[in-house]
Amino acid sequence: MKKRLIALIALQIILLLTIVGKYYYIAASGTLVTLKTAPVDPTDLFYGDYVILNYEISQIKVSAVQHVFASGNNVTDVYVVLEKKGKPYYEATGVFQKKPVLKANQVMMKARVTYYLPDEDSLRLEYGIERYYVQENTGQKYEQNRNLSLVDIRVAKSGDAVIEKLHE
Amino acid sequence: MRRRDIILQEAEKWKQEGIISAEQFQQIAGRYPVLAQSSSLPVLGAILLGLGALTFIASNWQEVSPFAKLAIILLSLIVSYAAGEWFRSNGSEKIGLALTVIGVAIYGAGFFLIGQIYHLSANPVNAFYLWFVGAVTITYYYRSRLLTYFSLLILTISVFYGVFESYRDGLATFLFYVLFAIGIVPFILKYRTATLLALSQLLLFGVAFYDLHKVDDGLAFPALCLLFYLAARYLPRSLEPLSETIQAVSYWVMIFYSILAIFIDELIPQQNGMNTRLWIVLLLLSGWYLIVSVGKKSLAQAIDLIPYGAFALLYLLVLINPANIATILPSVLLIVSLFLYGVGMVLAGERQRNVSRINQGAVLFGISCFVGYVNLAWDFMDKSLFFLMGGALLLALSLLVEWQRRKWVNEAKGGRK
Repeated sequence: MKKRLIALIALQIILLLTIVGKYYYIAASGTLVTLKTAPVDPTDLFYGDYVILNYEISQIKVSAVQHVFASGNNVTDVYVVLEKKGKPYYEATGVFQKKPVLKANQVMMKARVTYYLPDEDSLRLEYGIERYYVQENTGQKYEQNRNLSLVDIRVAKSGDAVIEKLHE
Repeated sequence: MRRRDIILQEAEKWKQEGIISAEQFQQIAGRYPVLAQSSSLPVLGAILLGLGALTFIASNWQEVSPFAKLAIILLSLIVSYAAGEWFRSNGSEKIGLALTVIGVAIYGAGFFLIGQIYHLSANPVNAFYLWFVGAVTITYYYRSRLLTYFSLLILTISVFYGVFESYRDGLATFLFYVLFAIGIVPFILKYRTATLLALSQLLLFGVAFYDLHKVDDGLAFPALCLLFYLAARYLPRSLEPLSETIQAVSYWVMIFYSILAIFIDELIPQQNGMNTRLWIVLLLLSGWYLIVSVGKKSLAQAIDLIPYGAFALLYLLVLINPANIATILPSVLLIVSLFLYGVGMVLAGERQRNVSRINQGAVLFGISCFVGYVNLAWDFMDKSLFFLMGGALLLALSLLVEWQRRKWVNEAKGGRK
């Protein structure tokens, strides 16, 4: 009986470590990408304090980029192609429902569609890197600094990304 | 006061009055040993302690390095589970269980704390699902009621996150029902407690209400309630009180749904092709229920069809005359149905000599009167007057209903003798 309990606990630990392992894999092997952002500060009961990073690529004007996807409500996951074009940060140049073929200077990120308003030509996306955790009650500092700032992230070939650091 | 205390108090008097000897008193006292204190205080204390430690770590650990944080999480996880098992096998079952609950809590918190360490913000619903799976496997291992409730709580929170933060996609929806079926249903069947079943069913119905509302506007949910109600009648007698509980929850949820429909026009069935099919389903289920009731000569139970009948009728009215239905008619129809249902429940309860049914009917009668008042008076009455009269009405109703209820209950009890 005890062996089964140990197995269950081991499974829980392995599951938690998988998340950690994935993070370190992406952080070590991913391409360095700088993004433009404006932070907003909320609080979550389960997470403590964090600032929400509102990236420039979180809101995409579909008509302004290459795009291949159906406009129905059932589009949930998309691939966003990023490119560095003269500015110090990456910009979105394409949105696709299927995995795109990349050029040498491009990176691809996986994103979840929060909403799509075809009339306003507006696509709202989430990349899973929207939260930056800070010491409790220091979120205001980031929020007041409302000027757009830069964030370094690492993007794996699979399109998953993790935050490396915020430019102060 | 406990039975033991009462008996010993009496015996003490007898001893003093010389009816029994001191020796006999001891013998009597020996017959009623002090039962082990089944206090849940240590459990609560341990859980609060665990939660306190977790929130302290979460809010004060910016200075600690990521690896140290990870070590803290995993070590406290292992220590809690190990200590839980140790206390359990050394006789302190309650404390052992409390420590195990903390272990499960740390496992779940682990997802969020790791997210915090590495600034990850993946879909929280998935984290809650993984937490739930971990909790359920531990529950299977220890076969504990407390852990079952804890698992249910985790699943409930996952729903709140899914619905309110709109993370509920197709897969999350599908997984909820799968997890409910394999993680909650077996324990309901095992423990056969009305509370666990009622809470689980409320969660299931709440989620189904949300999901069904996306497919259709009005009839799917009543059909689901009726289906559960009907299915509950086919559960074997050995599974009581499950069947009774499912039926009670089903009709109270249906009553609540009717009240919602009175105030939210969206729930009133509109005319479209999909609803016609659901309407037929609703009628078929009602017919089936009626046949079963007549067959078992328990026609009194057929009154439970009243709120469903109201919805079926409502749809018929909308279908026949979609343009000219006055906005007030659907609410009036539903209020009248609730009113009739309340009265019907009391009458049926009297016939069946079922006190709980009379009580529920009385409550429903009061509710339907009040809902009627709110619905009809809100629009054209001065608000302070509205509340004043509402309060007075509620007080008068509760007095009247309580007085009448006692009479009904007494009659029903008297008839039994």
